[in-house]
Amino acid sequence: MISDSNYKWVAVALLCTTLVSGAAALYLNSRVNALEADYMKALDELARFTVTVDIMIDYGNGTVAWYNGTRVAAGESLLEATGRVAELDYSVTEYGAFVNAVNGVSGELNKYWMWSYYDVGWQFGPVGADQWRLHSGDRVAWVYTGFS
Amino acid sequence: MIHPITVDLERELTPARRASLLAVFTAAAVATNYLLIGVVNVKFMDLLVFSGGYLYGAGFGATLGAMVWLVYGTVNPYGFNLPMLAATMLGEAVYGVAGGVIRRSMVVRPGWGPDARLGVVGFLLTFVYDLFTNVVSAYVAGVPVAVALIGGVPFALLHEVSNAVFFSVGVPPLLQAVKRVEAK
Repeated sequence: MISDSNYKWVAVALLCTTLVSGAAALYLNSRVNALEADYMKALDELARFTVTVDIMIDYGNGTVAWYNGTRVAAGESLLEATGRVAELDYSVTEYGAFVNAVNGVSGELNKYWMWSYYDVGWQFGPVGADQWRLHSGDRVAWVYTGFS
Repeated sequence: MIHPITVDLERELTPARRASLLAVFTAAAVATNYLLIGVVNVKFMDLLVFSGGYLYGAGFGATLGAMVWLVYGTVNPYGFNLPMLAATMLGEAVYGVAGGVIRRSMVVRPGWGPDARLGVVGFLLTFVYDLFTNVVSAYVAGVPVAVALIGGVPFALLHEVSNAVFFSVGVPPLLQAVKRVEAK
């Protein structure tokens, strides 16, 4: 049988645990809020120095991968941006960088990696990928294709 | 009812004995504070002040609490601040007063056995102390009270939980030790 006095002490002990958990919850909540605010601020600051672009890679065998909203540094070249989402093998020629392979895909006779940008419709890239600077909202594509 | 040990102890408390006991308890608290200087908010000081109040009365306990902080708060590697010194002296005195008041309603059995009730008392007293000193430090530092209270939660919890353990485990043996010394 538990006496009244013991009940009283148990109640006070429970008050202590309530205080502990209440304080801990308050603290953790404030930390989460602070971290969330920090995160949003960091994203805001990041957005001032970066842009987002959409990159499409068509492997020419029916596989097409889209990397939408890829965050790249402002003024970054297409070559550098593509290097963020795929493994590239390229050679630098007098006309600019020429991509030989994307994610290891290469080697088929008369097939090449060509790039295009979207402006009303898809337009072939006029310069080497290392010469083309990306801007916010740009949509670019790499297509493994042949010429007939 | 006042604890039988404390009745005898207080009856024999001449002014000279009172002063020397105050010095001994203060020295013990200050020494252990410096010993644990690197362990933030974990100290035996509160236990000693509470025990002083429990053994020799609320007045003794309050004086002890104020004395300890007068020394420790003045010669402190973390610096000196007058409003904080006043707050901590006042807050620490509460432990001593509480010891003197609680002995009227709670009889603690001297010995090695822990007493969970003392853990609860230690926790609640420390909660009040932390609340009070955190509010004062917020005003002193010029930060919002809510920020100081929430930011201080981990330190306060460490203080409260460690005191709950120290009070529960430390007071009964301390009473036993004092009883033995006084008997000689």
